Amino acid sequence: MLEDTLLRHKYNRGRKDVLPRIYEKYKHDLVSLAAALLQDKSKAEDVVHDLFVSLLETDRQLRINQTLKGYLATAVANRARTASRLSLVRQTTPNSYDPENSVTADNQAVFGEEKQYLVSALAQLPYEQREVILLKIVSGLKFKDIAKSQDVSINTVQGRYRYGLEKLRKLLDGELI
Amino acid sequence: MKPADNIKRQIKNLRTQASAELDKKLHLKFQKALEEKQTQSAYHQPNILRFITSSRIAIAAAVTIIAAAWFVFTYQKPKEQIEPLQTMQIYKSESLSELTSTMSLNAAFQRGGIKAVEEQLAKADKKISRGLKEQLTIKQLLCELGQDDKI
Repeated sequence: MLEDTLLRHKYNRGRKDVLPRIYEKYKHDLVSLAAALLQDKSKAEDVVHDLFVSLLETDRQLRINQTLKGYLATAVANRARTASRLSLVRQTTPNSYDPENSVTADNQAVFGEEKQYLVSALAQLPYEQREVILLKIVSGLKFKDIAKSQDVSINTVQGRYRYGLEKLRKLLDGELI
Repeated sequence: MKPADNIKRQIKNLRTQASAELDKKLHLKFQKALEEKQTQSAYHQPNILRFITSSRIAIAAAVTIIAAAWFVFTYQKPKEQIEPLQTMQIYKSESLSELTSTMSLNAAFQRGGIKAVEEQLAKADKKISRGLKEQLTIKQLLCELGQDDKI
């Protein structure tokens, strides 16, 4: 926690040399979050790659006011949302988008075979619910911060979280050990 | 354990590793960016203003130095600056001898060139002619010489 404060402080003062340390510290968390959001590891790595490149190349000073982990998780979620929308647009099939079909066997194997039920269930959730659940549980963000990043009210975020968990519970009924 | 808690625990354990390829790509970019920054730093001279505004301590130090310099120049004037003022005082005096002394004429020259010297000499001339117009009586002359009692 103290190291995070120091890293954030240095980055805010324009020290780009702290980025390798930040990347090393959070790379697995960020790739996991993006992979769970996008259900695709290569896209997830692209998102994380693009995030760090933009942090490296930007000339303007970024003022990170929240926790470093929270900031990175929010940034990854925002970029993953954009990537998800782009992939929706690119789909040429006339049928509506079915996330379950987009999860290939390879992508399910990203988190291990034993997690395939959970990954599959997560993929069936609407993107907004999935994002709230993952940001809350995996990244530990507060509802207030999630609401701010999604530009919706806290009640909406709490509703998405509750409905998402309920749906997951129904989908995974008897599957989880 | 409640099913919801179990789901949360399972989601929390949903982890994957960043690939070595991503590591390599990003570390190369970090290294390149840092090398470029070091090269730029070597080319550019350090900007004093940027340094001063970089931290509060630097700002405080700069303000202290400026205040100290101002104090020294304002309240501790060197002797060389005081002497010309004395010269100016001589120049301003109305005494005939002081008006025509070398020092006062020199000060007038420094102040306004040959024109100022001419003005000062004209002033002295006026003073002499005024003195001549005031004719002394014999009584006044004897008073000055201390022979007043003998009359």
